[in-house]
Amino acid sequence: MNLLRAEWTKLRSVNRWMLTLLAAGVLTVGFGLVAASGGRTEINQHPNFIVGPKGQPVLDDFMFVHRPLSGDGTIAVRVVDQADSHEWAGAGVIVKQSLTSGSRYALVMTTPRHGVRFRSDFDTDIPATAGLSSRWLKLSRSGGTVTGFESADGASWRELGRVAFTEGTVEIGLFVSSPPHRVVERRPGGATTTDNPTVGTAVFDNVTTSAPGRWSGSDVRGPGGYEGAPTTPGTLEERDDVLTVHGSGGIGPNPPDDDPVSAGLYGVLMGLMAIIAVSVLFVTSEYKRGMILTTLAAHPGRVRMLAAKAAVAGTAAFVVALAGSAIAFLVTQPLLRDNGFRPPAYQPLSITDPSVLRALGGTAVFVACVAVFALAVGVIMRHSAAAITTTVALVILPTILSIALPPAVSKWILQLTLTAGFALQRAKPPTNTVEPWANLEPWSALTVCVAYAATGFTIAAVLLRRRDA
Amino acid sequence: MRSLANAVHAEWTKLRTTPSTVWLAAGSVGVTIAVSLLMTVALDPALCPTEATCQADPPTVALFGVRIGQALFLVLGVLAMGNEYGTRMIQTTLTAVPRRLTVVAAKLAAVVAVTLILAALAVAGSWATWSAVNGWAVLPHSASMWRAVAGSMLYLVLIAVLGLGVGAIVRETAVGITIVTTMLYFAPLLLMFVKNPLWQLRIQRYTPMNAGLAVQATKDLAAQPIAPWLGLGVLAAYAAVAILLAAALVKWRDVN
Repeated sequence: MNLLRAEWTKLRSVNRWMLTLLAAGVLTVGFGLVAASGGRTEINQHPNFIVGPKGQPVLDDFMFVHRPLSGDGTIAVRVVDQADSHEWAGAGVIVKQSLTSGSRYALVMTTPRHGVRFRSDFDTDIPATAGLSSRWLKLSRSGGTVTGFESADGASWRELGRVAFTEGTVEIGLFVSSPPHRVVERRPGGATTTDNPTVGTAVFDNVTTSAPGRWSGSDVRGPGGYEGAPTTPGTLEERDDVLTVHGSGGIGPNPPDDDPVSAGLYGVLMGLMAIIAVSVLFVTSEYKRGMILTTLAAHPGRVRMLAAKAAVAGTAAFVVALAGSAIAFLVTQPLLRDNGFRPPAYQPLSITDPSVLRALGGTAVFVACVAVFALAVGVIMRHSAAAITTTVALVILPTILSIALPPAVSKWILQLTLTAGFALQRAKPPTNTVEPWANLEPWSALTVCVAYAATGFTIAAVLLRRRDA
Repeated sequence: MRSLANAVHAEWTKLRTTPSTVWLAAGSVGVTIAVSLLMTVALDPALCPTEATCQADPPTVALFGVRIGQALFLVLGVLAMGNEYGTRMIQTTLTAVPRRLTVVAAKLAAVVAVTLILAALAVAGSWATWSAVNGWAVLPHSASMWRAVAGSMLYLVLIAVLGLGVGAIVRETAVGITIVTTMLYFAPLLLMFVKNPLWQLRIQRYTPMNAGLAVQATKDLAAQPIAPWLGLGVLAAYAAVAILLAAALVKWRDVN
């Protein structure tokens, strides 16, 4: 406790450092504003998506083998075979409000690599058990509810979930979908994204339904297709109660890849530079002025002293980054909204949304890890210019490299350097199509940051104990 | 004149005997060439089968290492002045050479001379790497490629001069390095997000790294945001302002 207080006093009493930390917060907000003022999107003027039941941008393209259903009813089927045309290709049973793309639905489907899923209305996704080659799927509509089931033998059914659904006449039947395969190329001078359509194939038998009538096949298609990608018309073959269906497209949420949360956090990069400088100087100036001798005389436990220093530097960085990025978020969102980041393509965000909180908290943890790492490098090198250059090189320079490299290579570089932390600024899922560091999962980015901080701290602790001060 | 020559000699000795200079010299050349090699190898050969049909702009790939290696050039520049203040050497320096502008001029001359050699090695090495990998003639054989190669060398020297100026203004290596690094690298990252054409143009024209590297362009010059030499001129203006302000501050400020 005394150690912590001593280190905090050292940090607090150097006016320049406190001013720099304050400046780090101001830079985070200020440059966030600069970036947000320059940001612009025209996606709402030229939409490549359709709007789902809740006003969100969605993708709703598939081959639908359907008949009308009024009132209660069920459909059950066995998926005999499904081609592995795309990891998220779907084949199964569906009830849909109408044949219009974007209308409400509930479905149970098999996928080649993600098992059986029960999904509805572009936001519910319930996974079931995976791994069986032959699958029985069932949907049952009763009043305003639809229930999804799966079975290994068609006799004993396991309930996957139930969702509220629209009343009145709906369409019920089978469907096949297969999203396009996306290829992103990045090289010096820019990136290109190409969507190559894929065609899914599935074979169904044992189709039983309470809905009367005959099957008819039709493609459900949004105006733009999958982000403007061409899709292939679906087909239906019916022979001896075996149905073979080809279809392409996908069903699900389809938000643009640009993330207004990380867009508002561009200033963190600037604030980070100031925090690196303070964290390094926090220890190298002790060496420069010989203060380290006094410090070690007062607290001979060197590792504990380093731990206290790291705790103080990390906490200060965390607080500054959290406050800075929270304010940056609040001030940039209205600006981004004016620049085109608004519904339906971009849903309004609140600072209390879990994804936003995760992005802000993750950013603060990232900055704290960099601060601890910078401090450790300062102990290892005992030279402020060398320590700052090294830390900056591991945070900033890989970003410049990754802009010009193919996604696979840049992902590999990012996973080896502290730049990975910028992935924590995103509130949306990872993607290859925007900033290169957006392609890391948040948890793997967090692992990289913590690993750097922990490794740096360990090496610094060992050297601090072994070396003469 | 004699005193300036002596001062330059003194600065050269200081630069030569500082341990960090050796590291920086080796690092700046090594990192530049290594990154250029990485980019050259990473380029899809289908994009650049022959010189005439190359879809990429060759110098921007071949000399990509300049974007990374410049960090060490700027550190060298900042340290040249920052070390004087960090070690209080400046008091001795100014006692020996009381004319302060002479000190700044001598420092500038020493830094330019040293970085010009390092930049020549780094850029020529990068270009030779590209030529070797792609089977091109070793020497650039068009005026625009000569411009890209020579301009990249000058670019690196100007970055070091910018570092020297900022180092003398803030009188602290840590602060100087942080400021110049941020000045350089923030803009290209900002361009990943900024889609407003007016802002894009502003960033590409008026920020030191983006404007300065325009000198590497050899294709579609009319479509570039800024002409090659003019872009390097923008960086030169940044460096000139920094060094002039530094000279004025060194002259008028108290040493401490």
